[in-house]
Amino acid sequence: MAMANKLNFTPSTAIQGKFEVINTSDPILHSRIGVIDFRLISEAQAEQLVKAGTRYLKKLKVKPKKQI
Amino acid sequence: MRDYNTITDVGFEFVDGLENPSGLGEEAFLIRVSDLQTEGLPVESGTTSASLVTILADHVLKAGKHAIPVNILFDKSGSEFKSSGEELSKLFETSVTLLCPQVSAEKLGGATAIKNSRFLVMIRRLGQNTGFWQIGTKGSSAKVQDITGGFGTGATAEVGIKIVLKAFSLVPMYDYQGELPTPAGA
Repeated sequence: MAMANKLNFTPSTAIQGKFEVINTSDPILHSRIGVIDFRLISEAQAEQLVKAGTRYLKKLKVKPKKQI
Repeated sequence: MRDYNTITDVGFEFVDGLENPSGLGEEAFLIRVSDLQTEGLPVESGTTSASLVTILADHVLKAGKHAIPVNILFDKSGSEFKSSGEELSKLFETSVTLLCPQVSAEKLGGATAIKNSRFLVMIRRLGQNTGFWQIGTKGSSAKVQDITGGFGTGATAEVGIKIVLKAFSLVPMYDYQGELPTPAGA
């Protein structure tokens, strides 16, 4: 279950609104795809990390913009 | 008790071309046993030699708890294991020496804080980017054997804090392949 930990860092702007760091308040993750710094992570790395089954990053469902 | 007769692939073959450096990478981590919410362990039903020491599941720490980062000197740090005990009653004794350069209030306080704790010690080899080699488990933890240090004498002294930990275990060390969040290192 995801824990709402208060982050002690600001996640990379590349993932803001697209991914959420969960279950940790630490900025560094020694992951299955290598050492990831959540402050500098790219969107591609985030995708790879989620695909690798991390419990520390969640992909957010982006609501489609309403057509006017 | 585990019966190793179910292990079908025991062998000690050399793999040509595989990197095999000595020593430790310069960042290690200590996980306090009491900080573990869930401990990853090897699968009990494995039938391969590697399965006896491979941990695929993550160690999950309690909320607000962190692995303790230790920056070490390559030349002065290392890890060794040896079998221990009497014939047909063997287990393994694994030690790790971590030389942390510099003496500061933070390090002296850190030494004070860890001296009577039980740990999982997470180390890496040079060139290793994923996973850790793990010494100790919750059930057979690594404990501080010695902490030495100081400013030394004269111009050639080793200034820092040396931490020696040791664990007794059924296996020499574990191959931890799970994830581990850590504070920002140096």
